[in-house]
Amino acid sequence: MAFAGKGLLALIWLLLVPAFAGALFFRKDETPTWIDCLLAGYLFLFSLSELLILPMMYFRLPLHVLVVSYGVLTGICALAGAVRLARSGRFSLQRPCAGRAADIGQSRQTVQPSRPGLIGLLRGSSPFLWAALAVIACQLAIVFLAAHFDADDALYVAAGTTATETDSIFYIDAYTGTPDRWLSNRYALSPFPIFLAVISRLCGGLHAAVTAHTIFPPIFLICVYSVMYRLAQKWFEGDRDAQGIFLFLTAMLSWFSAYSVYNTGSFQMLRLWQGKAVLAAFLLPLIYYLSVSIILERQTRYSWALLFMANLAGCLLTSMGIILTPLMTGLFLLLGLLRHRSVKQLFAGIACCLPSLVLGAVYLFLMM
Amino acid sequence: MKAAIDWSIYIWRLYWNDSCFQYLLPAAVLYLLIFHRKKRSVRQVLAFSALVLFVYLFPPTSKLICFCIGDNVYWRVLWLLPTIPVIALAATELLRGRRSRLARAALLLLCCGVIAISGRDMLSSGSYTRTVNRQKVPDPIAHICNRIQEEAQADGIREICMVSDEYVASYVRVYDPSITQAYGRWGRNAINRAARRVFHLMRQEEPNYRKIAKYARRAGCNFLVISVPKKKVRKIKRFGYVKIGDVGSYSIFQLEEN
Repeated sequence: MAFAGKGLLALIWLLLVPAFAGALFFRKDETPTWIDCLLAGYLFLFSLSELLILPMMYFRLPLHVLVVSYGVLTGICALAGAVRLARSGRFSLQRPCAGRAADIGQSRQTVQPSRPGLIGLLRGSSPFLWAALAVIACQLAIVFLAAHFDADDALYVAAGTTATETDSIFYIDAYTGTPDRWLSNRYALSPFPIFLAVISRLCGGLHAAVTAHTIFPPIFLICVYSVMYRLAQKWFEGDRDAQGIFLFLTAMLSWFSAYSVYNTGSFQMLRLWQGKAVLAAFLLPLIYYLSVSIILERQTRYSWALLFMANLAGCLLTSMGIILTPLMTGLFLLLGLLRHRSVKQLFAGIACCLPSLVLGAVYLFLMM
Repeated sequence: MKAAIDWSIYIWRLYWNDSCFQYLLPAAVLYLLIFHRKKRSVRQVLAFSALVLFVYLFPPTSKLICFCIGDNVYWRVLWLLPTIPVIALAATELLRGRRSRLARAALLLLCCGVIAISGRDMLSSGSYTRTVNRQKVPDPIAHICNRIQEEAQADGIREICMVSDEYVASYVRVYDPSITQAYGRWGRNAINRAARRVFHLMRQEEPNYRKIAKYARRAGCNFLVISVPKKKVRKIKRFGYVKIGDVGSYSIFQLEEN
């Protein structure tokens, strides 16, 4: 299959499928934005991957079984999501879609179109937002075209290329290519390289290194800035100039983060194909956004299921995610407890952290 | 107790690498505290940041986290700190105070200047490069893999087992996973004792090429990739390896019996 065809498949599996599947995680009377759908969709895809990969790895099933299972399940969810969006009239470019009235304390009839359709969005946009989009477009072009060599790929990308080459899930050693004791390795709890292998297979057999180095960075960068844009909308509601300025500044701050190799901006701009970089740049800010919305502001727009999936997604990305995602959720639960004094909310939050807590216990057991 | 705090401070310095970004964060926090502390979003982000810093610096929690994730990667806890959003939030609040768009744009340019001076941009840091190969691994490594595959196909070799130095070993299986290696990055998962020996020999300042070839053969490697001075090539040849090509500073050898 030609490279362009594979690229098109990548867009379908990494943008359309999550955007449609994500629509399922909002109530029927909600009209989520495309950004909401995309972000929720990624949480769903990551958590589904973790749930599929771990048992299949344990039973040593071949990769193609995982690819078929993942493809069918996400395909069905994406179709269901597309049907739901179509029924709610989301595909119309002209239709203004109202926010949930109850959230902003107004009757449904009087709610202004806070998230307009595409044409409305273009008409009412701010020059600062365009400037931000221009900077982000430059960054997308750079991460798509340029290369960054990182020796960590010896494990993270090689595990993906090994899986596609040998049709196996983590039982061939990525370093040497010989059968190994991977199941006893703590890295096996966070099989993001297998997600890479699955996507590579679904994209018409695209080389996993090409998927990692060329396809993943721009796609995940879009996700990163989608989270930042949602934060801007939360913090500067109704002020489009301020939203544009905020987005522009986050892009600039990320771009000038080459002062050390440890910070989030550096991981975001240089190696956004590795699970730990996706955790630092995308998932943790998304958990911040969700935690503020769900725990502190008690918005009904976002369900606890999203926070649960976010914790599961953290487990997929990296072993560090198993520790950091519940830590972040826990800190917000503490703030929520101080503010609302609700034990029910505390238990709901702890339930969200359960996957991380269980895998964390296994992780510590393997470390000892 | 003191050791834990010292470690947290050391990691903090490592994270910021003496850049001025570490001063932008407290400046932003201070500005938000003084001028916008009544805003709900500001209170939320500042309370969370304070909590993260407490967990990071408080010895019992830092010790617990270090136990879970390891001392050497403790800097990853700082990923919880919403540094970029907090700085951007403060700067945006500052700009929002100006009514005219022109004034906002001028101030925005000023902010960009401060950011540029405080940090270091990705392009000038030399982090990005261009490659000929689509897999985006260093081009010499792609050439090495291609050369080995050509030779293996010509000789009807089905299983390629290659040994090389740590740099090459890190990228070979990223580019071509059909090639197996004697060991991986940092010599990890060496296939046998001889392979482990080769790894240690390769790391020496003045490698013993004779021993490298001897143990590479014993490890079962039919290809050896090594940076070797011309004078020493014969030492490798003595153990049945034939030079089949050069890529940059590396020479590629194949075991003759194959």
